[in-house]
Amino acid sequence: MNQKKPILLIGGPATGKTTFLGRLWLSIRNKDGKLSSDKLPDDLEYLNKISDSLFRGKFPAHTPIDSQKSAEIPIKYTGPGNPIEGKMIVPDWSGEDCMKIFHEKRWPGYWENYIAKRCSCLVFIREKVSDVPLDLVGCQKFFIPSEDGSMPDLVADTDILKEKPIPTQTIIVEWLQFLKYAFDEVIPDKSFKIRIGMIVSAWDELSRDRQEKPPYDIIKSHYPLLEQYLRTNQEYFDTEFFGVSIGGDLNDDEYKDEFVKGDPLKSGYIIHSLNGTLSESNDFTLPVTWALDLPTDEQGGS
Amino acid sequence: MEHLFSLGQEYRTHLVEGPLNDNLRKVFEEQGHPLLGDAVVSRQNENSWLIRDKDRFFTIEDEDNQLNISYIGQGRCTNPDCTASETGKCLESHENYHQDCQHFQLGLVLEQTPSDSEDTPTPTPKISPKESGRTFPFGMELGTVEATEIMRAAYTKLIGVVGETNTGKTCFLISLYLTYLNGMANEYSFAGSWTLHGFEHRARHVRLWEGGELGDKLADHTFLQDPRYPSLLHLIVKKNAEGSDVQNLLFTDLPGEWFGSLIDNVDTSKRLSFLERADGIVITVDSERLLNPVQLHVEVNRVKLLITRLVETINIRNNIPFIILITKCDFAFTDESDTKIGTLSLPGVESIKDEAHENGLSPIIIYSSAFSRYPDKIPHGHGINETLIELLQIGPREGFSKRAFDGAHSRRSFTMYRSVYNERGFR
Repeated sequence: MNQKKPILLIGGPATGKTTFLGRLWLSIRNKDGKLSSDKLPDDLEYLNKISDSLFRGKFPAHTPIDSQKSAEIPIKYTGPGNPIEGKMIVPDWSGEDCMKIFHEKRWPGYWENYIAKRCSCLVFIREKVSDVPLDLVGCQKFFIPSEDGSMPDLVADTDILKEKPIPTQTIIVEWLQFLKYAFDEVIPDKSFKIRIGMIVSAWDELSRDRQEKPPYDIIKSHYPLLEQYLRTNQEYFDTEFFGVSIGGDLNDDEYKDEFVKGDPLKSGYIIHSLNGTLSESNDFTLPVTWALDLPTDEQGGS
Repeated sequence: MEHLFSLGQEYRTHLVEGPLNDNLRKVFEEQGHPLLGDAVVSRQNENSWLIRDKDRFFTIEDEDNQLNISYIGQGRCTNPDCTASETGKCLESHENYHQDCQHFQLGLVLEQTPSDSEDTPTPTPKISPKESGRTFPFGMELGTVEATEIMRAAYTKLIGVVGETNTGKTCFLISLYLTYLNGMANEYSFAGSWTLHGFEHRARHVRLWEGGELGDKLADHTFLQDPRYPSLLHLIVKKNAEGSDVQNLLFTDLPGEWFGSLIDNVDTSKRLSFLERADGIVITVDSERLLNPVQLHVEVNRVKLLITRLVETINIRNNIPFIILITKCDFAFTDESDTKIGTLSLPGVESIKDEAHENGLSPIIIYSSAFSRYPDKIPHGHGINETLIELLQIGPREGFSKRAFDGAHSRRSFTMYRSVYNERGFR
């Protein structure tokens, strides 16, 4: 493992990036997962802020735009094989910053450092805040003339885009294309694959029958363009799928009460198929362990 | 003075006195000459502009139907009290101080290093994406420069989507994308696109041709904030079956007026000459017009003329898929009709097909409906997959390997056509 390996959290607003980071930090501190930490990060202010929110039974505050908050966490891997120590850098951008890069097709210079360090990525999708893509039926109204043969009145572009925003899967595919384009130019080793952990956040919000399916199935059925893109670009991407939940909705008073009175360090779960079968784990470090290309099962293979 | 690069005439509209237009700034960056400060444009004469970027100076000359960008070098005022080099304000109040002020010297290098010779202009510093950020060549559509980059990397099929105004060209392109977005495509899966944003905007009917500003040639570069311009849409698909049949496709997105003009007057054909190298043609024919006795004969006649023009004037090859796409076929159905899709036959279609045969083509007739008023009789998106599969079945053109080749010097290159335009003095 690199001494300092960046892991990028990518996703639109309110997709659970900061909540995941907070819960991950608690798990690392609690030493109950594959990754732990013997040392405290030099700068703890940001991690303390988001973990304090969770201890109080609140979702961490929305990451401010342009804040470029970054957590630098010393980690130790003590699973099968030799113990490994290092540091992971987890920049936590606001969802708006991610959207800005999508719209402007441009990212700031500091992103290039992460590419050069062969960063891994955790991409967050939350079904509740993602949108249904436009389909052939839905876009009819923009094109079919009315009875008198005239085209429908066009409203301002911004109104149409507000009514029917660019779908989440299109934005994520574009993001993956950005990463592929930049890696292709920066990393000369063409055998290198970008590690992309697809995270369906707020897993508890899914309907019961959908919660029984693997996260991959959720992506395939709800985000077909994204699933196709990942499947047809396997020579560039190593992909794994996770479902993540803090256990329930902290905005719901009943669950909040249960969460606070219980043990926040044991709250929530990760859904994965890392060992070939659908499993649930309390180890919030699993997606990161996988992203760092460390063994994720007791047999030592990921 | 060092010539840096050239641009098409469409950039002339961006040359306005004052702060440099963002589009031009991006071009400088993409060409490897990013500007460092708040660059300012000033006009020298009708066909010449000066760009001041801090203390560096560039000229833009309109010559031979293109804009030539050159680096003059650094410049400075020899008056030690004047800060024109830094602020752009001349102590003697000359508006065009670089021309009019006796103290100002262009081409005077400020900090000469031992390796610099007086004859060698200081090269513009190359700035890496690490310093300046990275701009991705993705967007609403592609110009010939971006298309050439794609063609350099892999064999890319150029598909001409042709037809007069309101015959369903844009709807065909949108439907193609929406079938992938909604997981309706079969045989081939979506593998990428440099114009995702463009497909999304077209699907919302928000990216429209702006009347009177259609452009008269394919764009060189395209920019997010620019209005729609004759250009290309990009799609990569991969066969689902075993193997790795990845196909790069560039679809033309051209105004119907171009084809109307081609029918009426051969003088306007030059801007379409790049279709000579097309790997497939989809010609759209509007069902509604075929079903209207008043419009039928005019429509059939014009489609036939267009086919002949494509063969005689544009010289499209006769061994490429030539698809006659009968669009908006839901107009052939009513609540009461019991017509079946398989037996659908519209007036004039056979006559159009015969014309294509007479021109040496092997036409394929496909009935389609992007959005259907009678989805139980003809489903939404009918004929779209079929069209794509016909276009994908044929291999690369003879003489071209499937893998990378140097598109810049190939006769497949768009830039070749552009240079031909320039040599002959037309656009």
